Amino acid sequence: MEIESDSELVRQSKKGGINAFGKLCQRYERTAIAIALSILAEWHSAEDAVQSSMLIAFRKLHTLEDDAKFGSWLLTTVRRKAIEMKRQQLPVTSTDFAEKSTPLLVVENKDVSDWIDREFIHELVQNLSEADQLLIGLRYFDGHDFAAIAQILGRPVGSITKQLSRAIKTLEKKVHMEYKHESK
Amino acid sequence: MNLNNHIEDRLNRLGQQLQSRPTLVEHVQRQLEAELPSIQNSGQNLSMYGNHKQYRRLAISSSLVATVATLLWSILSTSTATLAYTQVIEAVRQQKWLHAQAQFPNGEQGHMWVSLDQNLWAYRFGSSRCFYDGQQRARYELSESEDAINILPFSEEDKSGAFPTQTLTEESPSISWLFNTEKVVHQEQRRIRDNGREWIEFEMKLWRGEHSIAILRVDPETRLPVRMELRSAKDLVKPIVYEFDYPASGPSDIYEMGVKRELPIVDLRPSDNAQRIIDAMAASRARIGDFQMLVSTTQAFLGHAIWRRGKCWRVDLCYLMNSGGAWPSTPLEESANRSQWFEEQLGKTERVPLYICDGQTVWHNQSPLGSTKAVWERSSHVAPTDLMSGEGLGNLADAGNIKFPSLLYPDLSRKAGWEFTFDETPEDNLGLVVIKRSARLATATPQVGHEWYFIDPKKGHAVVKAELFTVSANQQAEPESTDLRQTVVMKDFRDATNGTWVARSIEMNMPVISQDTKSYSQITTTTQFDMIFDPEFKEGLFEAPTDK
Repeated sequence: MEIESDSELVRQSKKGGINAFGKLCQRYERTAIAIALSILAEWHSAEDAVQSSMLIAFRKLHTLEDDAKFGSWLLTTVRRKAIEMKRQQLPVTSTDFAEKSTPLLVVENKDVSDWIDREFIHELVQNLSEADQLLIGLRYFDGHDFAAIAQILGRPVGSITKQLSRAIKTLEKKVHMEYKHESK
Repeated sequence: MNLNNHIEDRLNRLGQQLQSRPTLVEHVQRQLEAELPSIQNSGQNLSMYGNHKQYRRLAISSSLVATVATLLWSILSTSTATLAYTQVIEAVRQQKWLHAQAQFPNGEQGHMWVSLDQNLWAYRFGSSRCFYDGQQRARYELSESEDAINILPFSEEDKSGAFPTQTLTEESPSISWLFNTEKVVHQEQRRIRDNGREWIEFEMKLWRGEHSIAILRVDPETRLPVRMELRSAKDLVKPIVYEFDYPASGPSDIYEMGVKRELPIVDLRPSDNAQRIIDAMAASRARIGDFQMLVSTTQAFLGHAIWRRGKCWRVDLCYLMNSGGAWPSTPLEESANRSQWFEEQLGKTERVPLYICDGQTVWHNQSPLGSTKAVWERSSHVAPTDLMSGEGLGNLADAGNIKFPSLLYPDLSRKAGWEFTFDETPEDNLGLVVIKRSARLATATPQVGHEWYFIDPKKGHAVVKAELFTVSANQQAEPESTDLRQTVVMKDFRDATNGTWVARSIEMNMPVISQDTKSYSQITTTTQFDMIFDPEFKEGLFEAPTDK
């Protein structure tokens, strides 16, 4: 199936195409939530941040200079929005404070799956470049295959697989460190 | 164990979890469909609509006023051309009142007044009214529901230079930031002709934001500013325009700004004793001098090295996988060669710079991995003041737990929307005083977040313990009554050379929820702060990266 590139969908969106914009957002929705979660550490706030960011993105779409970079631009918007929300959270709740103060890589209780997942998101966000986060997100969180990612980003499949492989290796290094740590 | 598969398993599991949530996109589309006709029918383009919120933010906050006053200084302070800034500032100082009318692109207007003589300033925008009394150091605000007048003390921001009468009356003002967050990156002066006469224009560029260019027009005869425009660098949005005049009188209180006299006054200022404690905490934080420090946390394999000299600071990530066990490997002894100890400990880690603040700009390494080249970007989220500020409860983006000033000496200034209690003689806490804050949370079921700070006047008014917890709105505020509780205990205090007390370790007990059982458990971590005051700093430590 022919998949429209981000550039094409951005062009349609800039003319007011809400459906085209919806398709764009769908491509990055889960990745965006993962990034917001890494900052806000709570589902509802993360979803609020993503929803607001999508609305902001549509309204500011005319400022996007390179249509092919919609994904990273949206994720930057999400990141900023989440940080802004984090700063405005009044008051700081116990759990929020805990999140703020917790060393990012502490692994205390492997049975607490929510904790592990949040921490893993932290690791992804902390240890990968934004470009790698985008690829990991598209592949694993938003569930696109390599060919689809290549078409979305307008890049050759080979460069996608190589970059993804490098990103996995970077994570591997981190997880290896964690594994060693747990084994002690 | 195949680690690669392990990673992919975790990624897939996380992906499934994310995909199990309902999509937001349909809701976004519906909202946009509802908004789009009004956007198109209003005659505004998308960019204007999109920025409506920003105008409102600028207008209803004190930034409206601070913009004018601080821009005046910022634009003029480094000018070397035909008109010196001192002449303009002097001309402004001789006026009874300075009034500015702000015109926003959506047609809304705001007004602000400054009296240098009386140390007053005020602004009005829409239904918002705010009146600052510099003599009383009090802020009078019409409440959000417009049914009361709140009186609040000056915030730390108010005191730190955003107050315009201070900005304009200081002999050597040192502000090159707007609102403490917006940096001025370029300034120039020129003479222009308009409406048949000559004007002097000062142009300034800010480092970010859509209205990043400020153009101030000054009458060369009177030397008074007459107009200022905040413009977009790319003409993406319409400008905000300020017109200045200099009336003989202005509002002497909030009632003269159209606020009904029958409204009740709610004095939210803490008692004198409580305010003294808050001020003392801020003073202790401000006294923290130059230092270098290692920060390590139990069970983490990332540490941090931090250097601070005045406004300059730097944070390095320390990867500890090759450190050969505990880090620091030996305790920092008072009598030891502390610089040598510091260097030895650094040598046991793989160190990567994360932030460098050269005093003006914070540079952030976007790729803080030891094996990759640093990718430096000007941080748009971290300001130079962030490391030592009282905000943030220990958090600095990407570097958790390093902000010890905000853990030991948090800014507990009274804020609207927060309940505030000061207990000078709490039971069971001999010698300590307690500040309790609470506020209703934005949760579906009524819940209240509480923060209790136990402060020791004998230790420079440092917080020695904090309880942060959440309970139902109808529940008694007791930390023991809830699982949603975090306890922070500062330990091993020492008197720093400049009279400030610092804790060498901070223990945190935090709640963790199990998704399976929905029950809470507590984890405990201890963060150690090994500080060396007034060290010798290596050359170039705080220099802006050249490979950006």
